[in-house]
Amino acid sequence: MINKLTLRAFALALMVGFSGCDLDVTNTNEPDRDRALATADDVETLIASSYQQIWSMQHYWNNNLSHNMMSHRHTASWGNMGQNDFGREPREPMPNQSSYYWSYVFEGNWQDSYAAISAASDGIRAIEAGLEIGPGGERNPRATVFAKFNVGMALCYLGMWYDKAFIVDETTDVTSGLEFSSHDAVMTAALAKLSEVITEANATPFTLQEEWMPSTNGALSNTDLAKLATSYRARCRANGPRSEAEAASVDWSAVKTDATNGLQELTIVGTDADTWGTPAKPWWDGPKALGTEPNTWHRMHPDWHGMSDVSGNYQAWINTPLAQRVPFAGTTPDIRYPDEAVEADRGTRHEYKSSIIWPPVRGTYRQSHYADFRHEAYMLSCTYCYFGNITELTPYEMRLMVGEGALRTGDIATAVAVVNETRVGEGGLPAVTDAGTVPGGANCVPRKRYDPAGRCGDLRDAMIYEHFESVFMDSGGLEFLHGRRHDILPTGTAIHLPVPASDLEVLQYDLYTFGGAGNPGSAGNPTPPNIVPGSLDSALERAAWSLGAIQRRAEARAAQLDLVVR
Amino acid sequence: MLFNLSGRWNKRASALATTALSAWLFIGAAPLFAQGAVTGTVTDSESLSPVAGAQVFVAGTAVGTLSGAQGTYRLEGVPAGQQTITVRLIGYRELSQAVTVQSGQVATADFAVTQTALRLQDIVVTGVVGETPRVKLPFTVERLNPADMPVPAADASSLLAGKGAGISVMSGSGQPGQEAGITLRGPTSINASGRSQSPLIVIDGVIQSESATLADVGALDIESVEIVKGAAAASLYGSRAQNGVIEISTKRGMGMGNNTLDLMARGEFGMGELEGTLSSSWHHSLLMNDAGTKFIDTAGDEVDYNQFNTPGFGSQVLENKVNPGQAGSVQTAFNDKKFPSKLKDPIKEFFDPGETYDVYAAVTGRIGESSFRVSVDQFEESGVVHCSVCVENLDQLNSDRVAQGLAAFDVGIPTDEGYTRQNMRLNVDTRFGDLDIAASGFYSRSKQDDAAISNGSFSRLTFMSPAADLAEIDPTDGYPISNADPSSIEQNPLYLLAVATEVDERTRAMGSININYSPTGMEWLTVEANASFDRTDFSDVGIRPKNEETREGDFTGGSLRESSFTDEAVNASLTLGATQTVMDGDLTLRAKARYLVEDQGFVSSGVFGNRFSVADVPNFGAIVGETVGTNLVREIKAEGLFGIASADYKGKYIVDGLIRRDGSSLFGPEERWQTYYRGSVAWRLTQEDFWNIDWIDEFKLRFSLGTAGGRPNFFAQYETFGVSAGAIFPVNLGNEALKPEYTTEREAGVNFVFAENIGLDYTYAWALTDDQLLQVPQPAFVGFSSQWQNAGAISSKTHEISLRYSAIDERDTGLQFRLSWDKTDQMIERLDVPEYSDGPFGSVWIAAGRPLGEFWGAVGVQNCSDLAPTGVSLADCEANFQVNDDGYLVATGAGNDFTDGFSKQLWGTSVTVNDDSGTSTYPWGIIIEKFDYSPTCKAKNPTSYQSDCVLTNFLPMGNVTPDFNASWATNFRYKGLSVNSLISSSYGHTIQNGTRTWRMRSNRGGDADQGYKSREFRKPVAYQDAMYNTGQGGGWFQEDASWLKIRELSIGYTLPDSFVETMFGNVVKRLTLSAIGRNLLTITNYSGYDPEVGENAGSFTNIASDGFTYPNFRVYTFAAEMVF
Repeated sequence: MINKLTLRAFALALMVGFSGCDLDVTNTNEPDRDRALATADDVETLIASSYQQIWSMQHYWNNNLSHNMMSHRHTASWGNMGQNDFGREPREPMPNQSSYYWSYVFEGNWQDSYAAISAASDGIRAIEAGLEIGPGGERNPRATVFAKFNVGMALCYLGMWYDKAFIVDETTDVTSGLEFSSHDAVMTAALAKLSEVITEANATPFTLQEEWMPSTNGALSNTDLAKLATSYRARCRANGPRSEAEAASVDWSAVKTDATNGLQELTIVGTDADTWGTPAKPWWDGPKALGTEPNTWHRMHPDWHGMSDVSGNYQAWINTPLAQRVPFAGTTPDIRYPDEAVEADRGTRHEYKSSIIWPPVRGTYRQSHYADFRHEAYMLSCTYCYFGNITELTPYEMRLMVGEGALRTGDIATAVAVVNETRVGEGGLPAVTDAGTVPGGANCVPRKRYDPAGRCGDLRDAMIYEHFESVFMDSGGLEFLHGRRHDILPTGTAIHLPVPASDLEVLQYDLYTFGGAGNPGSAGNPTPPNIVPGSLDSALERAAWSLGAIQRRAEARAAQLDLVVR
Repeated sequence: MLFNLSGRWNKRASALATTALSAWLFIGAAPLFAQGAVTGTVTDSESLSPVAGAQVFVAGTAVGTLSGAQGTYRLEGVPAGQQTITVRLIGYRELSQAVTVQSGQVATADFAVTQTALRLQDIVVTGVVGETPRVKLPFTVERLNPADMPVPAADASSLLAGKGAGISVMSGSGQPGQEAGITLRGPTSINASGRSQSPLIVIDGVIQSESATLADVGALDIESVEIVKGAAAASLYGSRAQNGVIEISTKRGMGMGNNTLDLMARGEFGMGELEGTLSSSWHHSLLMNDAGTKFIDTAGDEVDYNQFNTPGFGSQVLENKVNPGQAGSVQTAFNDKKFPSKLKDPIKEFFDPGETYDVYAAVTGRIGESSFRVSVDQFEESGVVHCSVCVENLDQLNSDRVAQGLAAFDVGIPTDEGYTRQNMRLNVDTRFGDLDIAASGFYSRSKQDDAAISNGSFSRLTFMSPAADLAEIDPTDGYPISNADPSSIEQNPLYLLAVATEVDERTRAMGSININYSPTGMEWLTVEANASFDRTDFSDVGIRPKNEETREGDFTGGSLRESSFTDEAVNASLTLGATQTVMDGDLTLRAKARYLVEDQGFVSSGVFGNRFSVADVPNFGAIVGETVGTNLVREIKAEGLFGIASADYKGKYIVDGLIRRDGSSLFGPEERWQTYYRGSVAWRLTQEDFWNIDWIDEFKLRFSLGTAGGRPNFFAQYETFGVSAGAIFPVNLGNEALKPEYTTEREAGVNFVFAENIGLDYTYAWALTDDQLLQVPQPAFVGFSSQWQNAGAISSKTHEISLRYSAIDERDTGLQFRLSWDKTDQMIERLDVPEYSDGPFGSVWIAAGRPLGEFWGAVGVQNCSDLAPTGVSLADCEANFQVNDDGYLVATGAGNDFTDGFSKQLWGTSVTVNDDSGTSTYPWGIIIEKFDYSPTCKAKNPTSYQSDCVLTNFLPMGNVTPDFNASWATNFRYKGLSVNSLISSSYGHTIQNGTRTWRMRSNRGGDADQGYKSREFRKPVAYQDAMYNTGQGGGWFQEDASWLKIRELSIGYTLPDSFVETMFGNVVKRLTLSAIGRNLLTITNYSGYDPEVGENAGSFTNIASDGFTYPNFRVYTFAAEMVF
């Protein structure tokens, strides 16, 4: 190219003064609309590509690590991905400013959602205008349904994450003034769109191209896509509520039905991401790669592993003022945890690390010795390149939604059955009784979260605990959204994201934010009910716990003496 | 003819003429027939250029004239007999010559005049219609001659540092082979991503390609540099001239005598060493055993420092110094405890002096009408990143191994090997009849080891503990221990330096040919054709070996990266020029028209692969992981036509005007062609008859108004859909109406020459760069994330003063001083996009009504009024807060002093006060972030800001734009001895010290060290963490970065000819020995390595900010130069 260029330019030098240049240069690196969408195949690719934006929300940085941490499952104090700021306690109003260094926490899902809607809607409009994909337009239904699927998913993520958003689809003229809709309205639109997808997908046979969604299931059929949309409809409906009170008004029967009838598993075949997410290799998962890497980036929050602890150390930690809290080792009958606080003794899912990887100056209250290695195979697939399969939707998530729906609709037996599937099968814990009681006495697991008295959990707590254990880093935000609807986010945690400052500024709206104790849009105190510090209940609970603790210490001392004597 | 009476000298001449005329009339003894004529040429002795406008007269008579455009003169009516002809022109030493005039005959007297040290008559060719003496310029063009550049620099970019007012040369990185960043009168673009804020560079007529670097161009070849600083002067270069123009001319053989040949050889050898260093903390805050010999880890065990976080051992535990025995917290732990082991300064282990050398040779010759100059140059600079202790330790280890019968380790040395460059240049000039042909060729090959930069060594170094020994060698593999400081998450910076390969290689070829035709008999006409090319081929290879260790002791599997690009620019032009003198030579008119074309092509590709199947085979065939590749193709086409004309009436009224029409493929189709113009006037009052101030030899007023453009980056105009891995997604909304940034600059100035030896120039330039090219975010629902638009304007005001004083200007002795001073203020006048942050730390705030280069971020509360916006009353504040010894307001509680933290056990407690949110609690004694209404919002809502603006902690911290820059050059010579110095300074700007900020992450910086303070003034680690602010720093790290440097100092001695002859016979004609120092001494309060530091971040290139760049270092050398 260069030689050709040289020759031409020298020829120009000879002809200089006699003729003018053609100053049109084509950008051959990236196409414009005409070239990108020149053929029906290109439009189909555009539609297919819009799923990558959905994938981005589920598996790239966006707000995934920050909000996982805000739910007190993952913990870290590095500034990266906003973790230090969003995990700091007491909670503060979120810095929704375009100048904020980690502003993509606010912007990621917002921009990805609308990018997906824009591309998918362009495709639908082209088809509606008469474009024929495939001979006689035989692939039009597939493209249309997949485009609507992505629009529905994008609206769902807007409804789940933001307090308000614009409802946009292929029928919307974005050049006219758009108005914000409430998150409920956005979610309603999302559910309607997913329902449309389910209906249309079931009506016409087709098979998605495998590379559109390269899963271990192979190429998804039309019914597979309908089932996937059904599962996501369950996810969207269940994860919309901002509080326990809002969750109560969800149609849990519909959730149960969808979770039961939907696709039970979606695992994407990962590709090498090069340097952490080069778009050339889209199928990778940042939060899984770092959010489970125990030597630099990840630990389990004490409020998670503390629920498994029967030693009393978690309660001691809870009862210590925030600034003085230091990481602790626990004792638990849950076999997913190591028996002993040593690195060589791993549980089936968790490990103990003697090291503390973050500077104490960031707050020892969020330090932890425990890590979750459920996605270790993916993380270790190679250094800074990831080949492993990536879970996106799992039977655990589906079953737990069925269980939660059952519990919320009074079907205790189903709820107990769901909880015991993993509790017994994977945790090695005694089954929750048919009456919904967590057995174990002084060694009961789980304990109530945030409970200064260390009381045993109930069926609801057991279900929350199994959710903790089973749906960690599978798909972006599930932990936070779960914690939000159960009112177990730490005090002052923002319950949703504001419209990003960057867009508010472009659209000339006032900036606003959420978060900080007592502020609108912030979580209340998650301390379990009936335990009011200083109350009689509290005193009795503490006394009971103290007696238990005394007994446990005595047993431990006796065991130690026995060891010495021998 | 009787010459015109103008100026001081003319008045004297007039008096002489009157006297002579009276004498002639009185005596009546000089018959008319006893006269002859004298003719000749006046040329510059140095450049051999004709000197026009020189006064040539017969001493003692009224006979005189001015030399013409070709330097020729003719004196009529010269009395017969022996006469003295004198040539006089400001800026030249007066020269006289005796000539015998015979009646009716024409005698010849040619003059080769020599310029005085002020060099007022230097010929300028850049930005003007044709060769123009500086003294007649209607705008500012700086010209640097060899005398202005007595100390050769490593390359052409750093050669310009401190050489003139309004020229900013920032060595943002000291990395050998790195080009210094040049800006003229400040940046002109708010967002320069994908393009440059640097001036257009032209070398011997070759317009450099966009990827070209001045680092390729050795300074020893340079003959002169002309610098055109702003649009008022640079309009000639149209849409590429917004940032000014620098035209470099290299040495040629044209000044040689016929059939002569000169050989020059020069060798320079020396060393470079780090001048500045970083202060470190030599104390810690950790819990130890009672004896102070061991640390206590989180498991309660006694451990050594290097056992923390290793398998089987716990982590660090903070000690509670306020309530001993209780658990420590960040508010009760202090970095004031001594380490039990001998400490090592990681900075000292990392840096060591390195070598530098430059061997240069040139042959210059002239044969008949042809001359040539060919030069070769070998330059090498190893830099200062070198661990000599590592080498010693490895030698010892290998010696021990050999003694044990084991093989010695043959491993890489922890060194950044620096930079090597080989250059060759050939310049040829010849004449065929009426054709003058000048051709230039240049080839350069260089290799740069950028291991220290690429592997993040400078950042990792800052986190290392003094208790770690970075230079300790791993006995299992011979490399520095990978995890030398297990308490840190960072690898040993010396480890990757030893195992990894990072090499950039570049070749550069430039060539130009210039053909000038001036037909005999039509000397007023010139036709000039020029063609040039500039090509850079670059490759980068990065190899991380298969057995590279992680911090945990695993192996990474390694990686391989190769990338390359080729960038080639081809330019051609055809020029018609005409010069005409009318009105009896009083008015000189010159005009030129030029058509030019440009074609530039850029091709790049890169491949990256992970995990080797076998070791030591850096081939993609050995990669078992996936490989990914990228490529890019770019082409730029441009076309232009301009006309320029100037008029010079009697050398006192000078008018200049041009218009240029520019077309470029970079502009949107609807704005493909743009027009630029310039108009300039100058009035030399000292040439007027009325001028009668004897001690002012030159007084010129000038004004110029010009426009110039700034081109968008290649991608800006296009609508783009991203395409990767088979996916398509919208990225950039195209803009068919995208046009260049458009600078309109006005420049007014005055030039003085006092008493023939003091030159003073003052220039005030004010400019508006409109149509700023900005990447405008789109509402998310549009789908495209952004669109490039012309959406803003910045203004710029520059004051420049240049003072030259020639104290002594004699044959054997010379003493000259040159002072340059400049000040530039820039303001964002208009912004049609929402305010946004950019640059390092995202701290450069772009907002209308704010200065360009302003850094924003967290600022510490310093007084009670700083707390007022949050609603803390003055009374509450005064009762509960105090300003501490760092100058920050901290919470102390009523009745307490900020020094009471220990004595009253207040550290770790908090203070609660009422405010607008009800109450707020402040940690005791800890720095407080200020919250206030954004100044930009406040300015827009002056009366309603309290309701319309929100409180923010993102506030102005400082500005990287200096209040002023200054430089002071001194050149002294006495016979063979010469002493040259250059002192330059920059005053009144701040820099965000990111390196210092990041050291706080691990409490490694000197700020964290509390061990040297008396107890009451110590601060807990929480205080330092508040300052760290998750790496984003704040006002407390926005440091005054004013500096004054001895940038150059050289002492040279040219040995007496007799001595040289004795030593070398006739082989060596001249021998000069020199001692040279560069960046010798820096005086500053800045706490980083060097206050002259810059980063590439956001859309900024080389913005003054400190973030782990290769530090600048000082260099001492000795040189010997021989002419044969």
